[in-house]
Amino acid sequence: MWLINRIKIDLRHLLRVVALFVLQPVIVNASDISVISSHETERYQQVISSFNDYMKQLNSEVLIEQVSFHVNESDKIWLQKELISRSDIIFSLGTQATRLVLENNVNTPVVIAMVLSEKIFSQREHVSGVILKIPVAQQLAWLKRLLPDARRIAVLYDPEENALWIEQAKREAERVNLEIVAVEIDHPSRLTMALESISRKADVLLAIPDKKVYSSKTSKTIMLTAFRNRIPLVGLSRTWVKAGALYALEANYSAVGKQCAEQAYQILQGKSQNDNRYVYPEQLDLIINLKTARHLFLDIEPELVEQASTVFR
Amino acid sequence: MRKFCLSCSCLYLVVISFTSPILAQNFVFDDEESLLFQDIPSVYSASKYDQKLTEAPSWVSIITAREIQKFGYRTMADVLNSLPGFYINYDRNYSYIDVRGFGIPGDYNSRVLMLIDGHRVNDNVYDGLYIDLGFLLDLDLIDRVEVVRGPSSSLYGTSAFFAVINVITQKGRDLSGPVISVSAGDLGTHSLRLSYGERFSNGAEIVLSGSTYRSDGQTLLYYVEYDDPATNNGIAENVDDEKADSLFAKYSIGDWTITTAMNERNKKIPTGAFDTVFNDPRNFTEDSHDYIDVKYHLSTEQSGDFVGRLFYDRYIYYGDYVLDYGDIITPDIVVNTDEAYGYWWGGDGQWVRVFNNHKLIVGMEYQKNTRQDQSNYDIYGIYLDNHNNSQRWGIYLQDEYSLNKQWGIHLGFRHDKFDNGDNLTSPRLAVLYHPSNTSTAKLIYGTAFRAPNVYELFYNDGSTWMASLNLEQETIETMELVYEQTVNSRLRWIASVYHNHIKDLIALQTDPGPDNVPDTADDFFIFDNSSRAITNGVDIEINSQFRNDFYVSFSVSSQRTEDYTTGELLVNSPQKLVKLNLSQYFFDKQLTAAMDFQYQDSRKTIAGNETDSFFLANFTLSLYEWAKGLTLSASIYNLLDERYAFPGSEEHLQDAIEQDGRLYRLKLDYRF
Repeated sequence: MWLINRIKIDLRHLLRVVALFVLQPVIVNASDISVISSHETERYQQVISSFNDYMKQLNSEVLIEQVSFHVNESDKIWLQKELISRSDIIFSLGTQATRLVLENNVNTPVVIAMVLSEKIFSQREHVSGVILKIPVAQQLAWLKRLLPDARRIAVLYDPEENALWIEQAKREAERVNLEIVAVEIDHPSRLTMALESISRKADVLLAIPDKKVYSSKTSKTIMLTAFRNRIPLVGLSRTWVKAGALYALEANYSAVGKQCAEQAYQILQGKSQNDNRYVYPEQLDLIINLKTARHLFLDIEPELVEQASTVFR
Repeated sequence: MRKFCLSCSCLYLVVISFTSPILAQNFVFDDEESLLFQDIPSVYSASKYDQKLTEAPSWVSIITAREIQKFGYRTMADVLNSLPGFYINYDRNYSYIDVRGFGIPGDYNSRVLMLIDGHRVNDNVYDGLYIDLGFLLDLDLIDRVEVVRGPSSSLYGTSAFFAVINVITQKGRDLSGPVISVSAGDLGTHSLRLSYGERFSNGAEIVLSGSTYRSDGQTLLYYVEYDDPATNNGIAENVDDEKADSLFAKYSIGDWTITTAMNERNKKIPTGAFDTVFNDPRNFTEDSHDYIDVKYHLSTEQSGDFVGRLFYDRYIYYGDYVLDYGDIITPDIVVNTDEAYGYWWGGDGQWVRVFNNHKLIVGMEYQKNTRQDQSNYDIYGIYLDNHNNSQRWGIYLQDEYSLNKQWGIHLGFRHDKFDNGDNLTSPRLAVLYHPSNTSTAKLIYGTAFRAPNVYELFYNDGSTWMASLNLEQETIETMELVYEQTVNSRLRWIASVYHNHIKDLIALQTDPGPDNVPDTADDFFIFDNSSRAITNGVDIEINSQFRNDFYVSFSVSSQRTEDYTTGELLVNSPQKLVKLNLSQYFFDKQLTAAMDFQYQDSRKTIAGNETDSFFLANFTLSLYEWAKGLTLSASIYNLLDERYAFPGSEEHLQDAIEQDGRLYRLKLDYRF
């Protein structure tokens, strides 16, 4: 049985490699870039496509191979032996794919995108990339533009994950005459009470990437509580705004791909990689929900609406 | 009881087996950037407070401001009447809310507890509450109404017998400026509301509102029981007027909120109740209630959630009853006046703290009734001049313990002490089982009590009404199994089977008097504890919201409430209620058409007859933001002009009292 399984796995790998050769005839090259992505959804494809296009503009000789990613042992082995070890650079998208790459590869430079945690950049040397987080200063600057009357900004956070962010946000908020009302959520059961208190103590709820607070189980509760208490919610992304958050700043995914391509190109050019360094997205998209604005009795300035990349009406 | 438990178990197994294939729909987001890309349920499609519903150790219904507007509800009676298991009675003086087959005619809603933003509004004379225009708030000021079924004395003490209704008012931010609302309808009905609400940059919020309502009522009402030339051939002419005024103010800053509300309602009595002179326009009642409430609400991660409040309430009832002390040949018409004054103050505190898997609620409540006075007099004398004061306090503890993701236990006790020496402990136990994220089963055992109020204890006019000084608390014991299933984001259903056992029921009886012959001059009214009643019933509700903004809520309630000793059905207890609410949004939710249908089974009357079952349909069309800030709505009530009647009470000659036919209303709200 083991033998049959083994043959099946090897056969599958063989077919995959053959397919790759058929689809992208020239693979093995001194300047290979392997692209590995946790997901194949629209946003990821947008980054990859932009990465490919820009890289081709920079150096048409560069060969880029995109690899489908599935988490199982045989994939890991194949990935390590057959692909990663032969690549000059790995462009990795998403936490799962990046973790796999970092666990299975020692020396190849890695350019990372579509991750939210800074920690992943400090796992080993020769790692750089673009983080999806929005810098605090930018968040607050946009918040002041969209909600000029808001002073007290509630942030729900897990201290284990975001204590540093909160410290930084408090300093920045003070500088721009705002106040961060930081509410610790060390257990999901505290969420309901915390939301209730926010409705009395804050003018706006700013969502930040935090696994414990903004999970799939809590998102609905948070959205509904904010909506019903007429607390403007600054969402995490387009999907949050579509669901009823007032607005969100989101990385422009094409620009992220371009930023990563630039980093990869610099590495190919032989320039030393800024180890463990990440940069923020250079270009942000503003997504606004005017239906929510009406519910909140807010008038959003027309020029801001014009600036928005997406407006839900 | 055994049969009941068996039925519960069977239903539970059926429900579980039916739903289990649907249960495994769980989203898995295993990398953190999925926070950005996950699908999030839209707030626009979520009409209910799902998270609260499944966590509560009972069946909770929530009616939002949007639903109140959408269905054109005019009074709290309309709101509550839309709920599964609830039905109303109206005797053309007051409206009564009846729950799960239990509605003794003439009970002033003392078996349901109502709170406004947590403030108890049942008065201290009748323990009553008003669901008609005597309700303290204009319905437009309501954010939502949360209705908790079942006994809740373990948290709230007396009167939390069948249900607790918590009305949450709007905040300043919900108004965001001045609002004017006017309405007009037939029966000469018109109303005006002026409100202002704002949230200021320092976080303070204010709501100010004043409302006035006037109605001529039915100009002609015919009662066959009075069809005699001496009583205008049974026609009550222009004696159905109603007027009501209310004020509401709320100011909050930080952890503090101060609220004051006032309502005064005046209603003429066209039915000749209490042996008054029929068709005399001087018969009326006037009820007013006002209160001031100061609330402190502190939430911290370290110490939990604390709510404390101090309040002062005043309730005044005044009624003129025109009586004829003479006979047919020499009438002696006298205006008899009935009054009640209830003043009380008190405080309560509640602390909620989450410890690991425990959510602990500890609280206490104190109420000092400084005045509980009743009087009855006319030109011939003073028949009642009763002055009382009393106090009561209660402490309670509830633990919501999550054993694991699937199982939870809610255990609560409350101990109440009254200054007449009565002590009562009310427990509640609920076991919650979550087979999945989308389903919850709740097995609930609870008890509740209602202490006799001063009206029941001391009302005595020396002839037609006798005091009932030996009354004791009535109690209820309930077993209930509730199953809630969210099939998907658009479909949810809930089912409940329950058994209520009421002991020492306080009910108004007609005593045949010293001659022991009924229907003679020496008969008198008296309250006693002699009855016991049991109810077995089932409520099922299905809510669905379709993709094209079509909303359906359908419920069926079936119950049997009977006298424990005789097995006879109780009066005013329809065995079946079927309710269907439909609404459809058009033009990006700028227009709604809403219809609600109700079928109510016949009800037994005091004389042993039955009222006819009836079918009601109401229709409301609302146009939102027709112009900036302008909302218009048009409603037709009793669209099919159905003739129907509710059972009368002991004080009525009418065995059944006919209700209104088709009525219209136009309403305009303008937000500046």
